[in-house]
Amino acid sequence: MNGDMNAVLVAYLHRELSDAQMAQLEARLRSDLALARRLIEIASEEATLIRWARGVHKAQQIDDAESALRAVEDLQADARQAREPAQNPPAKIFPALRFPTWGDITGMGTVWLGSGVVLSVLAIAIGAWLLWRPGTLPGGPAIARVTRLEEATWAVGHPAVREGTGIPAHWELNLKSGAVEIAYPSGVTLRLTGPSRLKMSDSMHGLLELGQVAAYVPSPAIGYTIDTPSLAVRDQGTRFGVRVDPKAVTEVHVFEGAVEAKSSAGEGRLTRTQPLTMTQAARFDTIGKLIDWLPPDYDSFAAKRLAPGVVSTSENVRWLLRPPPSLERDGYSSDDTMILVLERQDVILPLDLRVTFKAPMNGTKSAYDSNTAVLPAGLRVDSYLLHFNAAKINPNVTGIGGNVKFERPIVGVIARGDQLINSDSAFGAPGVQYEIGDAKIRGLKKASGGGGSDVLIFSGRNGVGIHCDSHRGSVSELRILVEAKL
Amino acid sequence: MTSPQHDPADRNEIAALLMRHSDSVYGYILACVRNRTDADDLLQNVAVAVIAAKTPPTADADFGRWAREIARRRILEYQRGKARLQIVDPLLLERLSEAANFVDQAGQEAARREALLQCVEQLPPRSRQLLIDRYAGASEDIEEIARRFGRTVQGVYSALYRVRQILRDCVDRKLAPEARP
Repeated sequence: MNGDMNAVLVAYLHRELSDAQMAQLEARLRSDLALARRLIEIASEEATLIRWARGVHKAQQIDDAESALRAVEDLQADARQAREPAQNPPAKIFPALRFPTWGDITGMGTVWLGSGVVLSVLAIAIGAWLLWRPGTLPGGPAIARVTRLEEATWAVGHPAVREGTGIPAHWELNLKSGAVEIAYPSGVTLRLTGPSRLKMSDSMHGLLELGQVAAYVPSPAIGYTIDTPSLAVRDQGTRFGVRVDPKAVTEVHVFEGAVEAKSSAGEGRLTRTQPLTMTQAARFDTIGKLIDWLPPDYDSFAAKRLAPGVVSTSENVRWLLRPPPSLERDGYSSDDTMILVLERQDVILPLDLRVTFKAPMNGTKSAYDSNTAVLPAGLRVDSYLLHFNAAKINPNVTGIGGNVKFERPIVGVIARGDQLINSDSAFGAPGVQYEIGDAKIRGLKKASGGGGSDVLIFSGRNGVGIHCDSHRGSVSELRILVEAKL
Repeated sequence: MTSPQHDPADRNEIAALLMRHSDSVYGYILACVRNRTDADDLLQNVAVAVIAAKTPPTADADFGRWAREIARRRILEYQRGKARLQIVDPLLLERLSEAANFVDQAGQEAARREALLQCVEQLPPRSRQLLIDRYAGASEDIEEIARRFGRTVQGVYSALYRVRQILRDCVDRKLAPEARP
C-alpha cells in the first residue's frame, strides 16, 4: 500500500474527497478487502490520535483556565482586602474541577450502576471520548455544546470558546459582544447575545443574570427554564426570549407556544405565576411583579412572526394558530382566556356592511345602540374574532380583558349578536361552527352601570381593548375587521 | 430502565475490556460515519449498550467483534434518526466489519497504538501542536489552523502529510522484528 493511498484514506475519513472520488473509493472498498483493512487500521490510528490530542488539549485548557482563575482571584483578593480587610476568602468564580460520574457521562443517572469502583473504571474507560471532547470547558462533563459563534468576544478571564466546545454544568458564559448559539442533547437551543452573563445551571436550567437569550424548546424538553434574578421562565413547548437589564428588570417575549413566568419567592413574599403565550411580552420588576405589557421584540431575538397581521396581545387575550372546530356555546370555554383567531382574509365587501362602530375612542358604552356605522361595499378586509365563553363563574373574577394590536388599521368592529350571526357567512373561518341559535347569547353585553362589556378602538386605530364580564352561558364575541394587506 | 445484574468483578472486567477496545471500536465507527461528533455520540450509545448487556462476552478475542456489531446496528439506527448524517451503505458497513475483524485477529492493534503514542511524544513541539489542533478540534477547520500557524491551507495539509509519514515510519521501526526485545 503506497503513501498516496494512505493519504487518500485519511482524506476520506476527514470528508476531504470530492463526491466522485468518494464514490470511486467506496466502490473499491466494497470489493477490495485489503483496502478496507487498511482503512480500518488508519481509522484506528486516527482514533488513537484523537484521544491523545483531546487529552493534551484539555490539559492545556485547564492550565489556561487555572492561570486565568488565579489571576482573577488575585485581583479580587486585592480589591477585597482594600475594601474589607480580613473577611471571607474570595469566592471562586469557576467551579471546582471534579471527575465526572457515570451519570454525568451518560445523562442517564446512576440508577442502573451501583458500584463506585465500577463508576470510576467506566468513566476512565470512555472518559477519553466523552469528556475530553474538543474544548470542553473545565468543571465536568459537557451538558451542552457551542454550535455557532458570531463575532463573539468574551469577558477578561473567560477561556476561549470554539464551535463544538462543551459547556459543563454551573459554567457561567460571560459574553462581551457578538452572539453564541448553544445546543443541549435534549434539543433545547439557546442564542445568547452579548453583553450577557448566562450560568448553565444544569441540563434543564439556565440563569440569565444580564443580557438576552432566545430559547427554542422542543416538546421532549418541555419544562426547560430560564431563571433570572426575579423570575423563573418555564417553557411549555415554545420559542421565547428573555432579557435582563443592569437593574435586574426582566422582559419575557413569547414567539411560539407558551411559558409560565413565576416570580422568585423572596423572604415574606408570595410567588405568582403569569402565563404568557405567543404574541405576548411583558416586563417584570425586580421582585417579579408584572409592570408592563409590550409588543414582542421579533427583530432583536431573530424570531419569526407566526400570527398573521397581529403585532401583540396582552393579559387574557391569547392568539390561537388555528380556530377550534366549535365556537358554539360551551364549544370552547375557559375561565381565563379570551381567544383571538384569524377568520377570512382579503374579503371584498359585496354590499354595504353595518358594523357596531368604527370610530376611534368609541366603545360599547357610547356607541352600542345608537352609533351603528356602515362600511362601504368594495372595502377589502381581514377578519379576526375574539371569543370568550366562561366555563364557570368564579366569584373572585369579575371579568377578563386585554388588548390586541394589529399591523394595519381597524376599519370596523362587530359586537352585537345579530350582526355577528349575519356576518358569519362572509367572514367566518371555514369549517368552524358558530353559535347561531340566539342572538342574545352572542356578542358583547351592553355596558350599563357597573356591568356589561367595554370595547375601545385605540386612537391610533391599530389596537382594540376589551373587557368582558363572566356570564355563564353566554358567548362574548367581537369580530374585528382590519384593512387587508395591499 | 432496570439494572443489569452483573457482580462488581464482572462489571470491572467489562469496563476494562471496553477501555482496551475503545480505540478500535471508535476507529470502526469513524470509518463508517466519518464525522467525529457523530462518532462520539455513537461510541457513547455503544458503551451504554455494552454495560447494559446481560451476557457480554468476557473473552478478549470475542469482545471487539461483539462491540463492533453493536456499533454497526447503532449506526444503522442512528442514521435513520439523523437527516444530516450521510447514509452509510449497509454493504459497506458489512465489509468494514469484516475488515475490522481481520485487523482484530492479526492482534497487532494494541502494540501499534502503544508505538504510535510513543512516536507522537518524540515529535518536535510544533508538529505535536499541529496534531493537537488537527485532532482535538470539533470543526477540523484547516483554515483556522493555517491562520494560527501562519501557513497556507495547502501548507498545513503538506505538513500533516509529512507528520503522518514520520509517525508511520516510526511505528514500523518500533514494530519491526529486530526492534523487539
